[in-house]
Amino acid sequence: MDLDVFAIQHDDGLGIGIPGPKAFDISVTQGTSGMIWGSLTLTRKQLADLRAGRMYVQINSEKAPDGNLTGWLLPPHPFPGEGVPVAGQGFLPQFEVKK
Amino acid sequence: MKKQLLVSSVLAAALLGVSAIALEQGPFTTDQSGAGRALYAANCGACHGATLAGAGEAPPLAGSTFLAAWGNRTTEEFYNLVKASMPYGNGNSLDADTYRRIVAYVLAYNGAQPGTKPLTGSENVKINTIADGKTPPALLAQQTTPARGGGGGGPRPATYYPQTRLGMTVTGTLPTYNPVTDAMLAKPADGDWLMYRRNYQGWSNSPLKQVTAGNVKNLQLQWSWAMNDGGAAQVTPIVHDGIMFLSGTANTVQALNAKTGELIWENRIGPPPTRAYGATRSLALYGDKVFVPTTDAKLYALEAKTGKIVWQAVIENAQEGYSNTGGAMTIRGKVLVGLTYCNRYQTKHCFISAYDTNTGKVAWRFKTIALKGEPGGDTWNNLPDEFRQGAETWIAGTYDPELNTTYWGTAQSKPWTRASRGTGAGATLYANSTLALDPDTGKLKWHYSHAPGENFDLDEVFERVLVDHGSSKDVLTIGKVGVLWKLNRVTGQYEDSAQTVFQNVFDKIDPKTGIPTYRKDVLDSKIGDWISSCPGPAGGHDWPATSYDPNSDLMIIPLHQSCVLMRAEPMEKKIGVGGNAGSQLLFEMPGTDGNLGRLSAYNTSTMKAAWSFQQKAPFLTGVLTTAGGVGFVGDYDRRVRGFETATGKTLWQTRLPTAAQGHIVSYAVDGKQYIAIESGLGGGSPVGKPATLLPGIHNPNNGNAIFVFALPDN
Repeated sequence: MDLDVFAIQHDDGLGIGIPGPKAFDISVTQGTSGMIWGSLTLTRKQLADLRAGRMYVQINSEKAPDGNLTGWLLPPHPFPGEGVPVAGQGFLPQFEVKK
Repeated sequence: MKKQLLVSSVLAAALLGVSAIALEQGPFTTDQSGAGRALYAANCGACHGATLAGAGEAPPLAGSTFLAAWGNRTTEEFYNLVKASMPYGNGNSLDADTYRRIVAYVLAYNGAQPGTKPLTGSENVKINTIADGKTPPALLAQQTTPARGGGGGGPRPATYYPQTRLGMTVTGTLPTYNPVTDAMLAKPADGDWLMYRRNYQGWSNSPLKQVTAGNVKNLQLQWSWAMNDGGAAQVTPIVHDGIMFLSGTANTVQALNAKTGELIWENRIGPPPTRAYGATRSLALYGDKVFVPTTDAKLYALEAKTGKIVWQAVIENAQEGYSNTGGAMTIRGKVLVGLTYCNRYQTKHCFISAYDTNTGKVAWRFKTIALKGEPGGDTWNNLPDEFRQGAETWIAGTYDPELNTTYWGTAQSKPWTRASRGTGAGATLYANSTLALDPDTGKLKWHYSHAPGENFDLDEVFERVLVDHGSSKDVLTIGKVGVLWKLNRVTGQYEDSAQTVFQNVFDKIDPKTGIPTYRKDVLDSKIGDWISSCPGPAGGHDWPATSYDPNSDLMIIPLHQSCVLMRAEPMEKKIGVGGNAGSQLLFEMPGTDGNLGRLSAYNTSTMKAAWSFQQKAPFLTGVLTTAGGVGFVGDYDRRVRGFETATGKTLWQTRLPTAAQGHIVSYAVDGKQYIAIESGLGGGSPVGKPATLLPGIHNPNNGNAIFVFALPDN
C-alpha cells in the first residue's frame, strides 16, 4: 500500500474539500492493519497551507491507484459528543469566502 | 448466426458510407439478460422507468445519454456501482445473481449481444465496445411495465405494496366539520394544524404549551397507525376540529379521529406507488374540501366529511414524466400547486398553477422558465426554448395576506451542470430563485436568483419563512448549499446571509446584492471533469424543513453534511431526451468527523448561530417548535429528540420502527396537546447518501406509520 500526501495550491484559489495536485509522497511503514506512519519536512508556505486546511492525506492501493481513503488535515476541533449542543455554530471549516 | 448478422450490419453500414464500429459480444448469456428483464422491472423500473429512460434523480440507463456516461467505463465498474448502491438507499440488498441478471438486461437493452459466458461482474470490458445504446426491436416490443405514475399492469416494484382495490375503500362521515375559512388560515386555531408548515408564514411552530421543557420527559405513546408501505412517505398530518387527514402512498387519503386514531374514511385514489415517489408532502384544506395533489400530476378535491371525490383536474400529463410531491396550499378560494420532474427536453415547461376550489377550473399558470423574448429569457445562453428545463416547485409555498403575495422556491435548471446544459454563465431564470407572486393572477411581483447558473444539483427550492423584524418584512430561506438567505419580502432586495455548514462552492458572496460567485474551477469545468461540491446534493439543507420560534427569534435548521465529486455528462439535445446528466462520487464532509447530521439554531435578526449540535445520522424530519419552549426533530437512525429550543439540549428521545420522516406536528383535542411523528421510507438524497456513508446504521425497508405522543392524563 502507498501513502501519498496531496497539497492544494493556494494560488489556484482552491481549498478544503477540493482535490489538487500531489505535493509529496511519504514513505510509510508497511502494513494492512493498525497504525501506519511516515514523516516529511514542510516549507514555510506548505506549513501555512497545512494550517489553513489545504492539505489532505490520500491512501492509494493497488486496486485503487487513484485513492482508497482521503482525510483532510484540519485544526483540532474538540467534539463534545453526538447530540451535545455547543454555543454558536461550533467548528465549521471556512472556505475562503469573500463577503 | 448472431456473429454473421453483426458482420453483415457493419458491411451494410460501410456500403452506405456510414462509419460504424463492430461491437463485440457481451460478457453475459441470453439466459441472464432474459431473466434480468423481470428483475429489472421489480427492482429498478419503478425509478428508472420501463424504457430505462430514467426520471427525476434516477438517470437514464439506456440510449445516448447512458452511453455518454458509461461508454468508456467497464462492465465491472457498472456492476460494482449497481451492486453497491441499488436499489436506491438499499444497496447490496439483492443476491449477486440478481445483480448480474439486471446488469445483463441493461447491457442487452443498450444493444449488447449475449455471448456464451455468463457475467460474473469482474469482466473488464468497456461498455462502448459491446453496446451502442440502440435497443433491439424485440426488447422494445416487450414493454409492459407501467411508467411511473401511469398505473396499469405489469410487474410491481420490489418494495411491497399490498394488492388492494382503489377508490373509496372505507366509507364514513365526520360527525361535524367546520368549513375552513380565509380567517382560519390567516390565524389558525391553537389546536389546529391546517397546512404544510401550520401557518401561512411557514413557521412550523405550535402555540400550544402544555408540553414544556420541564415535563417533556413524560411523553407517552397515545396511539399509532400503520400507513401504506411501498413508497416514500414524507407526510404532514393535517388536523382540523379533532380530525387528522393523512396522505399516504397510492395517493391514499385517510381521515382519523386525532384523539383515538380511529379511521373514519379512506379514499385510495391511486395509482399504486413506487419506491422513490410515493405520496404528497401535504394536503390542503379550504371550505368543506380536502385538496390532494397526486403523484400522477393531478389535483383532487375531496369532500372533507366523506372523502368522496368532488372534482379532479389534470395539472400535467404524468406519462411525460411529470409529478407532484410538494403538496398544495389554499389562498382566497384558490388551491395552488407546483410541479416536478420537468427534466426532459420538450416544448412544455414547469409551472405553478392555481385552481378554483369550488370547480377545479384553472385560474392561472406561472411558467418557471423564462423563454426567448420574455423577461429573463436572455439568461439561457440563447438555448432554444425546448432545451430550457428544470425550475421545479416541489415544496408548497407560503403567503403574506397583508401583501397578498405568495412566495415559492424553485429547483435548479436541468441538466444539473453548466457544461451539460450548455448555458454558459447564464443565470437560467427562474431556476433556484425565490418567486413572489400575486395569488389572484399568478403575476410575478419580483424574483431573486440565489444561485445564478447553478452547477451541482444544489436546489434552493425549499420553504420560504416569513418573519417581521420591526418594520422590516423579511423572507428567509436556505437551500442545499447551506447558506441561510434573508430578503426583504416587499421588494426582493437582499439583506443578509449566513453560512450554516462548510461550503466550498462559492468563493464570494457580494455583500450588497448577495450574488454568489462560483469557484474558478467550477466556471472552467467541462464535460467529464470531476469537480468537488461541498455540500453535495443531499444539502446543506434539504426537504426536512426548518421551524421558526417567534418567542426566541430562532430558526431551527436541520442540516446535512456530505460532499460529492460531480462529473458533468453529455446530454443529447433532442426532444424526449432528459435527465440530470451528473455522475457522483460521495465523500465525507471535511471537519465533520463523519457526522452527517447537524441541527443549528440561528437568530433571524442577527443571523448568528445560537447553538448547534452534530450527530452521525442526518435529520429526516422537519423541525417542530412549540410555545412550551420545546422542539422536536427525527433522524435516519429512527431517533426522535425533544430538545430545549433555547439551548438545543436533548430532554426526551425515543426510537421508531424505521427512519423518522416527514413533518412533525402538534395539535390539541379536548384541551390535550399531542405530538404526531411519522416513520417512513424514501426521501431522496438525504436517505440515499447516508445509506452509503453510514453502513453501520440499519433501518428497515418498511414501516410507514404515524405515532402520536402526549403527556399522561394524571
